[in-house]
Amino acid sequence: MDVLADLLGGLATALSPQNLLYAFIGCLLGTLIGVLPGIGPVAGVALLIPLTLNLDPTSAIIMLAAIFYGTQYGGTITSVLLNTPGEAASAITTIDGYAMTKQGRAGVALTIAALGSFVGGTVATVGLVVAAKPLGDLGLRIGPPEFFALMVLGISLLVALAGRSMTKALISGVLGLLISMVGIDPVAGAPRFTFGSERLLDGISFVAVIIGLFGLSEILVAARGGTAQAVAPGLRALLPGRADLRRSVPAIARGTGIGFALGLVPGMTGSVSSLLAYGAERRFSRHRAELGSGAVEGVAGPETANNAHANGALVPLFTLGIPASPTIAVLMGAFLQQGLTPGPTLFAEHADVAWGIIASLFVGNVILLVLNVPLVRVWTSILRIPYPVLTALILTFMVVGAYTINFSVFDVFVMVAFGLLGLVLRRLDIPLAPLVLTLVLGPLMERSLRESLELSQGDLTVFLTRPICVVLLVIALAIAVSPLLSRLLGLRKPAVLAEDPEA
Amino acid sequence: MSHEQAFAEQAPAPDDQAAAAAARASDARLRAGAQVVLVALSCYIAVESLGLGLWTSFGPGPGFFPFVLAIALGLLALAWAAQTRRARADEDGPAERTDVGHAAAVLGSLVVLAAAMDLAGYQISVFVFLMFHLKWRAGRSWALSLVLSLAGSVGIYHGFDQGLMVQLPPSAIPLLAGWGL
Amino acid sequence: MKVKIAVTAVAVATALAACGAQQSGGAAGAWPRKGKPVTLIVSFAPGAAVDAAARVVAPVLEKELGTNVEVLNKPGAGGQIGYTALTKAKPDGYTIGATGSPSVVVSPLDPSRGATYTRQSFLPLGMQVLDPMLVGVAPGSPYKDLKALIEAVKAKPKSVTATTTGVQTGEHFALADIQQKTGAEFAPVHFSEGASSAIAAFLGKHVEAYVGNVSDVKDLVAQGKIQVLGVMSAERSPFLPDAPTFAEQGYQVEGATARGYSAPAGLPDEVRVKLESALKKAIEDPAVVAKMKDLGLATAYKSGQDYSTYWADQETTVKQALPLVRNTKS
Repeated sequence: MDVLADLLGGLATALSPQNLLYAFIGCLLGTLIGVLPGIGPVAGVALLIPLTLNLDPTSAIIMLAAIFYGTQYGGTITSVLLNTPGEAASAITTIDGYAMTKQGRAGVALTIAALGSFVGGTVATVGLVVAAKPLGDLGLRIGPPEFFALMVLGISLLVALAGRSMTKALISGVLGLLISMVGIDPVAGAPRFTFGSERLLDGISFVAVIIGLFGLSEILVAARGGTAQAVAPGLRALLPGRADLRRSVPAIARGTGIGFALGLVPGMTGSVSSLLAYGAERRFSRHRAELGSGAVEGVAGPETANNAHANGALVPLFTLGIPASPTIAVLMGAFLQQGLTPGPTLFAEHADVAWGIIASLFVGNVILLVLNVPLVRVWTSILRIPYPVLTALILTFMVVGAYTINFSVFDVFVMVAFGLLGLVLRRLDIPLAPLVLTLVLGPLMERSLRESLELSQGDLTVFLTRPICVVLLVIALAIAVSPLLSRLLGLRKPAVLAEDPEA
Repeated sequence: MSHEQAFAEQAPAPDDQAAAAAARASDARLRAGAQVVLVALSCYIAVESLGLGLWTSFGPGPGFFPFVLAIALGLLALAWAAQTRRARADEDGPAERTDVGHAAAVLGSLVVLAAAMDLAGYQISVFVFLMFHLKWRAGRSWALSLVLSLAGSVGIYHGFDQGLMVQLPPSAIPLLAGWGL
Repeated sequence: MKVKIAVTAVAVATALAACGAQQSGGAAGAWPRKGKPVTLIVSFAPGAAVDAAARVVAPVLEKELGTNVEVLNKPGAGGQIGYTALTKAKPDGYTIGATGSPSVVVSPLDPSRGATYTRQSFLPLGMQVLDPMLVGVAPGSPYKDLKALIEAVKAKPKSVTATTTGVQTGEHFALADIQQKTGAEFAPVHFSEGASSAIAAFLGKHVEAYVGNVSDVKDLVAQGKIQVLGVMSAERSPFLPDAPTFAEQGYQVEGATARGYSAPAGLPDEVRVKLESALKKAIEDPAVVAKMKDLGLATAYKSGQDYSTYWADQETTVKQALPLVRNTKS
């Protein structure tokens, strides 16, 4: 067991008191920064890189990995407590996370999120250790046509996100796709629907959209006295009960699988993983009817998936030197500044550093857990602030968050406009989740479709002659038509009973 | 924008039968308005995307996706309209109630804040914004309102500027900018 | 209760202020203001050579300027999205960008792209590298040398797919050049996010021929994952001594990507001078040169003025070749 010996050697490095301290500081700083509006993992890691420049390579990377975990978890905290996603990957968590907060179960949500992140991250790291090479090759088998099929599969989950009306869910989904079209066409470079505005060339900022759509519209809907007053949890409600844990297990398992698998695919982002994990819960969970109204699965699935994704994305980095997501790219930048070139040569030339880093991923996960579970009580005490005061502070947070995306007031206006749109859609009983799903998947789907057709020179059968592609499309078709079929055959009660995700 | 119009017609949450009927009627108006907007939007996008080019030598061009989506949106909006017509009898209540005054105050203050931020600078505009919400809308004490507003404006500005090296907008008026605002 | 909130708020504010206490201070007005970061826009996805080079330069530039330099990726549309962001930024020295030709040269020339910038929208600050193009295939490929590949494509046009990093990028031009000089017409597949997705597609055997830069494949050659058939430079690349050039095999095709840094036009002169000299020092810093070498990039510094001339020359060349890549525009 060479691998085991190497890993133990790495653990010894990672567990030195000095490195443990760096991991701890990194995690804490990361969480604090992640709680701030508009600062997600990418910006958080980038902001704190200077702190690590004078450390030796192993310590520096260990600290950065810890910062990365911390910022990601910090984003989750604001999603759950304040309904304001700190970053794209935890946007979908707001739906059930905030619903849980309203029921006074914020502590449970945060603890489960930490647990899920821990499990997802750890399993993905095990995958990285045990089978990095074959897994890296597997990720490569996803070419443009397969990527397109994956996106179709993701969009087919839209039917699972439908509430009372499939028509309304589809309208929401189409609106999301149309919003994603705004800006310079990613293939030919033609500006689309920019109305002559130079601000729109870069597209409509995703973070501004979700802050407005979820966070702001929630505040607008809440009556002045605060019917939506979140309940600060009592001591007993802080920790998840046995039922919560039991229900989280399958969601965490699914989240791990989805996140890790998608993390292997170059070009996939963490928000795709968390969205698909949420879709999968809506479709496959035994408690799917409760999702949207504060079900623990709606937090466990996506939060597990985005952490598993982050660690899964290290596989292509270590085996091929390809950074599969923006956050990984920032880490890769840190590698380069330390004089290390990520890729297979890293293991050959700097094996001790490579294994030290992998071991520190384990350590970072553990620290995240031990640091944040006790801190949950501190975070949830934010909810003791009277609602009108909290509203004013959250609004300020949202403005700062939207402004800092591009340092432009334009994004603040975008956020306000989408707050209004969110309000109208809620009044019309049109679910918001499908819009967010397609907003993320739309550009990826369009790009991969056009790449695929260049590959086949315009031949559409390319999607039917590649086995992986066909399997994915068949699954997508099955998911899309299953509600229809079961209704036709009378197998299951019609989806009318399913709760609306935003209700 | 007709979204706003439809929204402005909203009556506050009803207590009695008559008001409930009025609310249902306004919901129906909102729904009809939204359906008209969606159909109009779909027509506009379809025409626009034709100009972008639908098909090129290698499959879809820049206008292909928007065109297909526009058609889909139009059909869905019509389907929705047909459904509401059929289901008028047992129309289910709207998902959520809105307090119009509250929503307007929040949206209005945000728009004013965003418009003023580049000119007056982050610190002044957010200070006024927070005072408006804390003192006048939430009715908190002067001391608390002042402390929180200062922390949220001046505190955050300098914290972000120096701690995180993130620059929030300073005032565009030279005199104010000179005072560090 | 109220007191508690107030205390918390004040505590948060002080904590934030304390974080940066040591960085505070610095005369207002002088560029760069201490603590205000300079954003370096990279118009391609992370992992590409442009990105790697920028990330290597950034820390040294940081030291020279005495302020943070943050690399920001804005990929898409073969660089156009990032270039648009760069030229739209305020010319105050706090936003600079990595510019790579021919992508930056071409995009404003083709009216159908609707680019909002021209060559005059950029202020070249300095060129860093010249990275030759090459063509490679997978090790088990039936095409053993360049001749075999080109003859096969000639016999059956568009029978072999080849990667580019977007419509009308350097790779696309190289393919057009090959077609013009040899008559072999490849089928380009445009990976508009940049070289990293092109490499992933090539390694996954979704595309047969890899067209890209020497720096992209240096590691892959070492691992035996790509067989380089021809490098488009006058002499063999020092990084790939075993790979023959196009000229050696009788094809007069040359092509390279030039990468440097530019600011939006309209930069105040004092800021330009400071930026130029800081960039020169950063680019020629021995540690940076060594790291670049590790990445397969030969440093070829050109001052802002020279880079500007080079840019103008290239524009002339590109204008002539443009009809070729517009024909194959997808």
